[in-house]
Order: sequence, then C-alpha cells, then structure tokens
Amino acid sequence: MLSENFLHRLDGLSLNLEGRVQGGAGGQRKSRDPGVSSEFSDYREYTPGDDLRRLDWTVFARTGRLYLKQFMDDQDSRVMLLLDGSRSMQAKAELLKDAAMALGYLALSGGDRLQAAWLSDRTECSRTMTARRDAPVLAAFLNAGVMDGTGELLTGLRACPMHQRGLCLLLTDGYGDQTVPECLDFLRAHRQSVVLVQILSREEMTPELEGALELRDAEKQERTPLVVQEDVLRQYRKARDHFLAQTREACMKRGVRYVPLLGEENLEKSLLPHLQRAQVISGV
Amino acid sequence: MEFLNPGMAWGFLSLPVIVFLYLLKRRYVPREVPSTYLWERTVQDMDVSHPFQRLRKNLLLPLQLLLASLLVLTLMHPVLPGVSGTDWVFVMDASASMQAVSGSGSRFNAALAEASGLVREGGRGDSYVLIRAGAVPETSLGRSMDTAEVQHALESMTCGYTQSDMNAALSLAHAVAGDAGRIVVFTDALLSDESVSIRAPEKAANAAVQAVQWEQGELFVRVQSYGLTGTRRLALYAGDTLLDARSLTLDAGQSTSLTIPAPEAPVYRAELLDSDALAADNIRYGMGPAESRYRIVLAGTQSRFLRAALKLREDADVVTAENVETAPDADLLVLDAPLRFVYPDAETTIRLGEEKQASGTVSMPGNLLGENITLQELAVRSLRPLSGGEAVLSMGEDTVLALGDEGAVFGFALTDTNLPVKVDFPLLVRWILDRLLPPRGAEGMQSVCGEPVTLPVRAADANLTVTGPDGHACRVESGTVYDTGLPGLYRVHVESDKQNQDMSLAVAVAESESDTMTVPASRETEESGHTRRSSKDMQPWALLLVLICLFVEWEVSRRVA
Repeated sequence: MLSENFLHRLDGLSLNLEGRVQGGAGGQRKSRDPGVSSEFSDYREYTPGDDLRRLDWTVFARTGRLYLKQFMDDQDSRVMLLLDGSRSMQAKAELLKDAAMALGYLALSGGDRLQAAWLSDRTECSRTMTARRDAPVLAAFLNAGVMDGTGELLTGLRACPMHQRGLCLLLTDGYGDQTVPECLDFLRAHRQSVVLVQILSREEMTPELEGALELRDAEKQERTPLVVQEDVLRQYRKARDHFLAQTREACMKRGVRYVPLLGEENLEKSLLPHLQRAQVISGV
Repeated sequence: MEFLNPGMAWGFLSLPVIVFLYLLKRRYVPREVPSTYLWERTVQDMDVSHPFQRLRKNLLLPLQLLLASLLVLTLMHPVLPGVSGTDWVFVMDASASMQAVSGSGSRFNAALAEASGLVREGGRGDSYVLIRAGAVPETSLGRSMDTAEVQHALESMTCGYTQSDMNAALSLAHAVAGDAGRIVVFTDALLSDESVSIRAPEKAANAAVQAVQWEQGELFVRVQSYGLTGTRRLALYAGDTLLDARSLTLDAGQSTSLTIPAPEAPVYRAELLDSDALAADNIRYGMGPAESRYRIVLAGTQSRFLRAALKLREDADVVTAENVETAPDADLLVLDAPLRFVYPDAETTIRLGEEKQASGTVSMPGNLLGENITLQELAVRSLRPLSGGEAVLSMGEDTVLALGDEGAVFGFALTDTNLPVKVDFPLLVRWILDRLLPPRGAEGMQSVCGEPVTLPVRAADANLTVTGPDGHACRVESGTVYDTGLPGLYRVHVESDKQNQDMSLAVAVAESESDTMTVPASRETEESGHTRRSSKDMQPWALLLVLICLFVEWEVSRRVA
C-alpha cells in the first residue's frame, strides 16, 4: 500500500469536482440546481399543479399575482470510487488498489463524502466515509476486494446505488469494444461528473510472449490460438495504441477526464502529475 | 423415399468445408493472460496462423460429416408416399348474429352440426383444420386426421357476441389450406372471396334496441326492425326504476323512435320484452349525464385573498353572488362574518358563542402540521368561540375553526384577522376544500362488444377493478378494458389514495350484428383440384437422428477435450 510520506503529500490537496455539485446532505459545495434550502434563488409564475407550500403569498398581497419561490440547494459533494472487480484486473490488483487508495484519501482530505464499490456480477459497496479518519476503513475495503467477477462492468454499474449529482472515479482496464462508452454514457445519464482511470499492467503494455500459444482469457475463459512472432507483437502494439486512443477519444467526446495509468511501476512518483494534467486535483 | 425440398441438397457442400476446417487445426501451448481482448484485435488485423496442417485421425470429423449430412437431409424434407385425401379447412363464423335462432336452434349450432356431418362423411385420408372467426380469428384445431378429435373440437366451439373479422379469418384459412386445401365457411356474412364454399343459414326476423340516450331531461330510444312486422312491447328503466312500458308497432326494415321525459340517473335501460331471432340486442343501456365541475359560490365578501385561494382548486368554478338565494346549485357556499365554508341547506351542528377578545396562543388539535400549516403569529381581534363539531384550530381555550355536518366554520370574520395574508392561508383553504367537496359521482361510457375501452382515469394512480355483466371481476392494469366480450353493464371501481369512484360501462352488440335478414347464398366450389396425395412425413425422424448424432458428437468432443 501507499507510504505515510506519500499520503502526507496528499493532505494539502483535494479533488477538483468540475464546479458545483449535488450530493446528499447540506455541505460545503454549491449545487447547480435550484433546491429546497433557505437561500432564495428566483421567482417563477404559479402554474396549476405546483406545490402550494412554495407559493409566495406576500407577493400576491402586493401584486395580486401568484408566484412561486425557488431556492438554491446547498449540498456537499459525493465521490464514488467505482472499481472494476473483474478477473482481468487481478494482474494489476496492486496498481488498482494503490490508485484507489490515493484517490479515496484525496476525497476524504477534501471533506467529501466517499463511497467505494467493487463492480462485477456481484457488486459490493462500502459504507459512506466522511473524514480522513475513515482512511483505514477504505484500505480494509480495498484489501478485501478479490476481483474474481466475470460479468460485464456495466451490469455491475447498474447494480450500484447512484446518488444525485456527484463525482465518479471509474478505475478499469476498459477492455471491450463498448465497455467504456456504455459505462460513461450510463454515468453521464445519471448526471455524474466522471473521471476515468485506465489501468494496464506492464505485461499488457509490452508482452513478453513467443511461439505458438493458446491464450486463455482469465475472465471469460475464451481461448485465442496464436503464433507470436515479432510482426505479431508489432501488430499488438498498434492494436494497443489504437485501443488507448479510442478510450481517450470516448472520454473527450463525453467531457470525461481521463487518467492513464499504463504499466506504472512507481505510482507514488507518477500519479500526481497524471492527476494534475487531467485537472482532477487542485491545490498543487 | 421422396424429398419435398430437394433444393436444400446444396447443403452437402458443407462436408468439404468441415474437412477443410480440420486441416486448419493445430496445437498450441496454453497460456493465461488477463484478457485476450487486445490479442483478438491483433488477430483481426492480420492473418498470423499458418493456414494448413495434415489431417489427423479424429473421430469428431466423421461424426461432424454425418451430422451435417443428416441436417441437410432433414432440410430436404424426406417423405414416404402414403394415402390420398382432402385437406378441409372449416371457418366457423362466431359473431353475435350467428346466435340468431331460426327453426330449432341457433345458426352457430346448425353450422357445427353441418360441419360435424361433413367430418362423418369424409374419406379415410382427409384432414381437418378448424378456424373460429371472432373479433380475432383463432385456430381451434390444427391439422388433424383424427375424426374423434375433430368432433370434440367442434363440440367445444362457442359463439361470441362480437363482430367477426372474416377477411382475417379467410386470410388465415388460405394460408393454412395452401394450394390443395378446401375451405368451407359457415357464415351469415356476405363474402367477396369466390374461391371458398359457403354454408349460409336461413333469414330470420329480428328487432333490436339500437339507441338509448338521455339529454336535457328526455330519454331517446330507437328500435330497428329487420324483417319483423307487428307489435312489440318495450320497457324503459332509469336505474332499476321502471319509467315507462308501452307497445311499439314495427314495420319491416324501418326504425321506430320515441322520446319520453326522464329524471337524471346514472344508467338507463331499454328492453324489448318479446322474443325474436336474436336476444342479445333486445336490451341496451344508455348513460346518464356526465358529472360537472364543482361549483363554489362566494357570497358576502370581496376578499381577493379568499377568492384567489379558492381558485387554486382547479376542478372548481368559483362564482361570486350577492347573496345565498341567488346560488341554488352550489356544491359549497363560502360566507363571511364569520368565515364559513358550508353546504347549502345543511343542518347546523356548530354553535357560535358570544363575541369576546381573543387571547392565548394558536394550537391545532386536528393535525394540520402534516400539511405544512403552522399559522404562526396569527392575530385575531375578536372572536366567537365555537362549540360542537370537530375542533381543528384553537386560540387559548377557544375553538376558532371546527368541522361539522354543515361544513367548516371559523369563529371570526376575515376583517378581524390577519389570516388571509398569512403564507399558509391558501394551504388551509385547500385542506378545508379537500375535506368538504363531495367525491365525484358516476361517469358513464359506452362501447360495442369486443372493442377495448380506455377508462378516463390515470391507471398509474389507481387500482381499477372491472366487474362484467356475468359478475366476473378482474383487475385492469393499463387503464384499458379489453375483455368486453359480453353485452350488458360493466361496473368499474376506481380506488386511489384520494378517493374511490364508481363508473359504468355500457357494452352492446354491434348494430350490424342485428341484421339477421341479410345472408349470403350458399355455394360450393368444384371438388376437383382439392384432392391431396398424402405422404408420411419423415422429417421428425430425420431430426431425431440429427439430435442423437449431435449428442454423440458432444460426448466425443467432451472426452477428447
């Protein structure tokens, strides 16, 4: 797991939530939407069926016209750590858990309400964590994740309780033609601000294979017979780069921030620059 | 052995393909990777495998060749030559007019008896298909050569009260009959299709009640005669109360109508008491006036706050009147000094005490807090304490708002309080109106048998139960009643959070079904060309062999793996 030193460096930072957000209880950040707290926002004319409790009777007394009061909603932010719990992530479990711990710690340092979830065919959610003192709870939840799921990531996402507007940090390898676009569309449809952290192991970035192999998919048990030679490895690198470019493009199209953690060996050194470049953290 | 579909023989081309696939196989060293996703994309982009290998000894290959051959043979539809016969398709018109009685029984029963006779006289190789032509045609019996089964299916057929879709039924019959099948239609409907045999019933005289309508205090009834001449007795009811009974003189092919004064009632019924060819159209229901909007009369006050708060009730008309006498039709009267929301001519149960200075704080024995009504800093200059009824609002020891049989009564006048300018005043007015305005009464709808009826309620907000004329009750999920197969009066019970409501739905036999005088002429198609050379279908056996072979192949494949 992460060193005390590195966590100490994270103390002065917080997650950049892309402007105003909407969460559960009253808090520190301002929502974009009109709501029901006490801060007055605007008037609009009464129409049949409106809530009579919001009718401004004093305005009627002065003007003889019926108006409805609208309020700003003061709410704190809610951060969701969505962790790909499929078998393909086992090879990069350490990288995934470290990145998740760092991001979760950033959220807790910033005073945000944090929840983490392992997404697979049996989605598992943590309790809501609210302060830095909950960091051990997060660490325990991450360590308990076994990553033996076989289902689609989107299926796991659907089983995950979505809150009102908040920040979702999705950590996955993104394998599958439609996995990333579908998950991002789902989260955007639920009005979430999204950061995609794509994680690939060094072996996946530069495989060291040779000869006639029957490659067995750890997750789906599918078999791909292949004679690996230099030209095949060259073609693999092309396919890999194309895949990564596709993922990045899918994020850009949807206004999703993209953090690539590709074959990282020293996360403590490389994570912060990546997050800063993607404008995920502020206060650096 | 013959093949009905020899064109499928091209499937034998799959055999060399299977052999070719075996040539392509080779051995690989297993290796687990997190995901083969990127490797599959790599393979898509280039052909990386050596294309061929030597054909090895493998039991799977001959098994798969045998499987493919059997599959192709199955698709070619093998048959063994057998006996010859006629493929009969009987279309039984099950519309309401087929219930018309002529002679000893109904047209439908006569048609069943005739069809049964045709089955008894049929040849050994004959086959039968039975199609029931109702609102939606349905196959009562698929092709069968078992005459006992056919007779049983005929006995089980019933006639309905809907119209029949003969075009759809004939289309289905032609599809089932193919080129050689012989279609016989038992119907009283005129058909333009000349390729089918028609067995038509005799004409029968009938009379039908075809309109029952109430408007502005008068009930209009129309009776149509189809070939019936003479006097018929007619009874008219408002609800269950007999309004009138009289004799009508009918002329063949003419309609007779009458209008009588009638009081308002939810449902009216007209009934021809003398029997004729078709009984189902002798009773018809008509609906009473639809429920109007609530009418609230505001008298003796010009308060625009009170008027605006009343108008927030969307299903009510708020009318201002000089005094109570000028507003006789009001559902609710709103009066001031003191402020009262009362029913016209209601008995008084709440008494007003002597006028006194208001003192003490506001409290609510009746739970208004749940409605977000707090009435904080309510000020009253002078009040008259209330006694009787249910206390809703108090100041100190004195009740200042009470609910009773006559409505809601305040213990003060609008001019003696700041209540109208309080923010929760419209909420309080709405709360009072919700309790006082009577629930909506019955509303009526009409339709014909077999037609779906969409109810004028939001199904999502309510539980709907429909009870048919036969007493059978069922829940309606989508807000549309589909089961309207019986003529008569349906009761719709709407249960929601706000209130319960009962509606009536009158369903009648379609007018065209009452015309029992218009029938087609019976005709026969030529018998030649309808005889089939029957053969024994071997396709199921071939399919069975395919399945056995598939199982063996799977077992061998599992052991090899």
